[in-house]
Order: sequence, then structure tokens, then C-alpha cells
Amino acid sequence: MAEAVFEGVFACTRMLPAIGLRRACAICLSILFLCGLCYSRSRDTAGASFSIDLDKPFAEVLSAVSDVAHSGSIKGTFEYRDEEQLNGAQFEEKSQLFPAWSGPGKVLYKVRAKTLSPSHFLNSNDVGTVAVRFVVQELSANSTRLFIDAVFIENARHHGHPSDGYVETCEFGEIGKRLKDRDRVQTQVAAGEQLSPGHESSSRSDTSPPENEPKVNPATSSATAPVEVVDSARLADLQRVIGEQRTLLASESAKLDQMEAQARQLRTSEFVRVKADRAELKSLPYAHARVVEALARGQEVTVLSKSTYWYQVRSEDGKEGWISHALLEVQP
Amino acid sequence: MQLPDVKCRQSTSAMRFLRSFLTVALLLSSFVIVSSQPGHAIPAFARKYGLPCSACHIGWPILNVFGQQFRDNGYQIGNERDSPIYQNPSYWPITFRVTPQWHLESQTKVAVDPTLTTPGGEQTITNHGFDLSGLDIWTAGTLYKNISFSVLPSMAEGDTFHFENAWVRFDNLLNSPWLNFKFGKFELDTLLSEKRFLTLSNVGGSWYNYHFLPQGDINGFGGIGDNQIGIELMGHSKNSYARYSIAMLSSVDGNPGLTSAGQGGTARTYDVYANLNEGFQVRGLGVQRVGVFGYFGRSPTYFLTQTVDGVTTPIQAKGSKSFSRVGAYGWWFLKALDIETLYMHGQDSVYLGNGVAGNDPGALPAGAVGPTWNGGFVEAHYTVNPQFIFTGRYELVHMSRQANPTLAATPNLGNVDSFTIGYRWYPIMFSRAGLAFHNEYAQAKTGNTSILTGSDQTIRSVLIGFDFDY
Repeated sequence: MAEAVFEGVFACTRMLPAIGLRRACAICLSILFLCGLCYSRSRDTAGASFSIDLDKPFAEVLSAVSDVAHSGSIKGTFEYRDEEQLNGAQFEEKSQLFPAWSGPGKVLYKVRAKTLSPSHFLNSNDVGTVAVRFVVQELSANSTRLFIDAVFIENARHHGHPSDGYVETCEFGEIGKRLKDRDRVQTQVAAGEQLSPGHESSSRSDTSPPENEPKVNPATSSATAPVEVVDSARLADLQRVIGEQRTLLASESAKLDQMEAQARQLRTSEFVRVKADRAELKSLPYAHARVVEALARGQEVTVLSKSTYWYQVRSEDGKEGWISHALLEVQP
Repeated sequence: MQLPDVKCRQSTSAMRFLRSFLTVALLLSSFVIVSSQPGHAIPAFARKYGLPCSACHIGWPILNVFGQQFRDNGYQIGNERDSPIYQNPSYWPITFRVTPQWHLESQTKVAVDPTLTTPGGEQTITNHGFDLSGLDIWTAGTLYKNISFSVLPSMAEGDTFHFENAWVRFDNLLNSPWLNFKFGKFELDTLLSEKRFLTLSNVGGSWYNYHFLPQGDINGFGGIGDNQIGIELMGHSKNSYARYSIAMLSSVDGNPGLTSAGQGGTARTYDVYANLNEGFQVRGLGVQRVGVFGYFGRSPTYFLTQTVDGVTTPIQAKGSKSFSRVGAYGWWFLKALDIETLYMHGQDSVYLGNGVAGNDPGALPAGAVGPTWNGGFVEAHYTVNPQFIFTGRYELVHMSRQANPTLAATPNLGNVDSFTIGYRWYPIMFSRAGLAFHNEYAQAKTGNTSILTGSDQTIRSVLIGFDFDY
């Protein structure tokens, strides 16, 4: 190979007078231009609109989507290197950043203004607004279709930048979490019902909610008294379970918020760099895990979390993974 | 009988060349492709804020709207991120920039002396080879909230360094973006910045309009492309769509030591530069920008001198005469294409234009007038993506009135017609470093400038280089 290179260089030198220096320059420039152009364009592929059919009732999906649209943050994108989401997003019912939606379904938007070149938007540039659009369509009683699109539009309106798909995926992840939470609560409620002493004695428990139970006046009929006792006990039991679950959910949410705050604090305060000649960024904290990329000595990384022997980090080019703590040092 | 052999040799040789050429091209392309990474950030400010380079640049070094706003706001974003507590302790606000390159320079109709084997006369001179650009060491940032600074020592091989700029700026006075004071040596507030364009070659690496002087003119002013020393009052709207600036500058063309173009102790007068521009939204195309500017100055025509031990030194400028540059410009955006347009009119005093001392009006030739000229350019950038930008420019400067009526026979004397094409590919653009693979061809024709025959000359540059900073 090296011989071919040297031969090529010498042959080029010998042939220069024959083809002319200017023509040789023009040929070189043209070839390099085309190489650059082709390679650059290969990256320029927008992510398709995210859509999924869920085996859930429309109201349930809409409720979860509405929660996410009101969450105040946009997942899967960030401005500054030490962040992992956009905070300060607002729910909106309309947005000029998307073409008007003419199809069926309920449309919700989440918008974050004054955003600086957010990540995961193609050729992201300048300052502008990030908008996420959720479209929820009812397909049948137990099936719902969900569309998610994210776009970044510069304030100067020179360019629009579609997401590369990561934002939509992360937003759906949030929706999925909420749907799972609801499923879990419902399952636990159902489990509580089964454990309830009144549950087995009530043949109508699955057909109507407790608050819709017909109220029976004990003064008018003594024969109905046992039914009333059973229903009251069941209602109290259900309310207790719901209360417990709510308390548990609030407690877990508070813990989660606290942990996220701690993680944010850690991320903003700790930067380390690679001290070994080569450090492999692993997909998991195991020596034999897949190598995401190799980092060179001195390369800065942001610490996301720590275990005893491994640091979860984000490299300068945004890739996340794990590095053995022995290969890192705190920056002076 | 020899003909087939010759053909065969040529064919074999051509095939070998083609094969070798393709090998080299393939290797080079592979190198560039393998080493390519998605664009993220450039040094200094990107390091400071943890932002991608695309936050401020259409493509390094051209500023986008936010980049202009950030610069106008004294290198401050205007949120909590400006606070030092957000800064990485290892942050050091310095960027180095240099461009190793191969370049070719060619000029037609150059007067050459006779040699032992060739007669003297005019001929085309071409030189090419590997070379280095000068080195820029740029540091900038904030000294305190609303006090920004920039220092840019620059030097080339074998040179002593000079300050390309060195200034301190008091930003947002009275809590208003409309009041900012800059003090020192700085780039004139030109929205179409010569310091931030995409061409680097000897022929295409500057805008002729920003530096033009008529032939024989003794004006010491190097043009609005030269950084100047003085004070500047500048203001802008919050989004920097509307901007104004007015500067008072020593008439020394930015040379420290009260000197003008190498003349010692000459500063006696002050120039004024003003610039006004406005951005406006056009439906479907986004923000477009237009503006006007004017530079009104004086330049000495002779000097009081002092002779000590046979060495004569100018010690004070005298006979300052006026000159002006006025113009209008627009920066137009059509999706991925942006086009810069400029028109400029220049005028110098009759004394400056004819190289006559202000205290010797009798030396002016009969019918002498102040030279005037008009010029402009159209420069386009096509941003395929932030990693790949194609650029092309056509520029001209034409004399509308020569200073000396004896030059009527050569009305095109000093005229410039030029074009430049090139592209920049940014395979690496991180907060640690930026690298642009730069390719450019530039050509200019200068009217009636050959010494022997007074005919037009053509100068050409080809530049292939790696423009990097870190």
C-alpha cells in the first residue's frame, strides 16, 4: 500500500507538466468537493414522525399524553453539555410551528422558547423554539394511535430543524412510564379488592364503581342491612388502598425528584478527564461490555452517576457510557 | 515505428498516473471520512458555556443571529450561565488559529530583469508550495458582568507580533443594550465582517472594497477592513436586529504608538465611522438585514521632520486632507443560501489622490481632482449543512474619476474585477478544537497596472489547507 502511495505521488509529480498544474488542481478540488458533499449529505436524514398503536382506551392514553405535555420539560434534547433535557417547556393548545392538523384526534403541544441550538435536531443552529406535537387518535374502544413530532425552528426563521427521532422516542418513553404507572395502580387496586373481605361477597363489584352503588336507607328495610354493611366495608377498604397507593406514589415521586436534583448537582459540579492513553467507553459497567467509543488521554467527560468502580459519563460528542474510575482523574 | 511506442508509453504512463491518482484521492478521502465527526462546538466560548458551535455560527467563523446577539451583548448569553459558578475550573479562554496550506500564486505581465539566457520584459510569474499562515492567539470574554474584553496578538513567520485587536467594552450601560462603550483597537462595526468570512487566499482573502486606494494615492487609511484605534458607542435591540454604532478613531489606521502607516509621531486628527443596520422578517424566508455605513477621515500629506546624525524622522503630521467611504449593504437569506451584497463609494482629497503636500498646491497638475470610485460585491454561501459550506464571490471596484487628467488615456487604471470560489468542510468541530478543510480558487484582474506596458494584470491564487483552531 505504501509503495502504491509513493508511486502515486511520484507519478503525479511526473505527470503534472503533461496535464497542467491548474487542471490537476481543478481535478483534485473537484474530487475532494464531491467526496465532502456526498459524505456530508449522508448525515442529512430527518427522523420520520413517531407513531404507535396502543392497546389502551383513548381516554387513558390522552390522560397520559396530557400529563407529559404539561410536564414542563422536553426529554431527549438539551442545550448545555451538562444537561439532559430542556426545562421550562409550556403546554400549548395551538402552535404555529407545525402545519395545522386537519386529521382526526386530539392535538396537544409542548413548546420551549429561547432555546439555543438544541441537540438531536438536524443541523441545529442559532436560537429558536422547540415544539413537540402529540396527536391522539381513537381507533376503537381499546385501541389508540399516537403520533409524536418534534421540531426546532430558529427565531430568525432561516431554517427549520426536524428531530432525528430521539426526542420523540424519549417523549414516548415518558408517556409509556405514565401508562405503566396507571396499569400498576390499577393492578394493585384490583389486588386490594381481591384481598378485601367484602369483595368475595359482592357480586356487583366489577360492574360499577363504589360511589355509584345504590344507597340503601337502613331505616326503611332491615333486610338490606347486611348488603349495606358489606358495601360500606368494601368501599372503606378500597379507599384505604387508594390512599396507601397515593401516599406511596407521592413518596416515590418525591424521592425521584430528590435523586434527579442530586444527579443534576453532581453533573454540573463534576467534570473529569481521561488520564490513561486510551479509555474505552463501555455500554455497561462491565469489563467485557460493548465499547461505545475509545477516548484519548485528556479528553473531558461529564460524570452522570457513579458506582464503586465505574463512572457513568457523557463524552464531548454526547455519547454516554461507563468508564472504569481508574482511568479517570478529576480536573485540577 | 516509434509512434506506437510513444503512444504505448503515454498510455501506460497515463494509466499509472490515473491509478496512482485514484489511490491518493481514495486515501485522502478515506482519511477525511474516517476522521469526520458530527459538528458540535468550537473553542473558547463553546468551552466556557458547554454549547455547540452551531449556537453562534452558521459555519465557523460566520455568525448567525444569536452569535451576533451574543457578541453585541458583550460575550454574555444573558442568563445564569454567565455566572462563573457554571464555568469549568479548567476553562481557559484562549483560542489558537493557524492554517497549514499548499497554495499557488500567479501574476501575469510582471516586469522581470534580463538574465543570462532570457531577455527582460513582462511575463507570468507562478510560485507554489507548502506554507503556513500567520498565527492568531485570541482571548476574549468577560472581566466582570457587563465588562468584556478581547486581545488578539497575531504574527507570521519571522514577524514581530502585532495586536490585531485589544479592547475593553462596558456593556449595557444604564441597563440598556443601546449603550455600550468600547475602548481600544477593534474591528469597525461592519455587519459584513471581513474577519469572519470564508476565504483565505492571497487574492480572495480580503474584500477589495474594504481596502481600495487609487493608484498613486498617498492616503494612509487602509480601509474599513483594517482594525482601528479609538472609542465606539454602540447599541442594539435585544435580538440585535436593529443596531447602530458610531466611533471616533485616531487617524493612524490602527497603528499604535501614534503612528500612521509607519510614520512616527504623526497622529493629529480623528476620523469618524458610523454604521446603522436593521433586520426584518420576510415571510417564508426569515430575517433579512440591510444597513448603511460611512467613514469620514483625514490623512496627512506631509510631515514635519527632524534630522539627527543624517537620519530624518517625521515627527508631526501636517496638511491633513479629507477622504470618505460610504456604502450600503444587505444580507439576504434564502433557506440554505445566504447572499451578502455591498455597494461602496469612495472619495479622496485631490491632494491625497495626486500625492501632493497640502502646503504645495502649486504642485497639483492642471485639472487635478479628487479621485472617486464605486465598488461592490455579491458573495454567496450555500450551507449544505453546518459541516459543509460552499462560497462564491464576485467583486469589482471601478474608478469613476481619476485624480489626474493625464490619466484619461487609462480610465481603467486601478480597477479591480475579481471572483472567488471555494468550500470549507468541517470534519471536526468540538469544544476542544475545530478543523476546516479549506479549498479555494481566486482570481482578480487589475486595470492598467503592468509597469512596462500599462496593460491589465491578472493575479490568481489556489489554496488548499487545513484551517484549525483549538
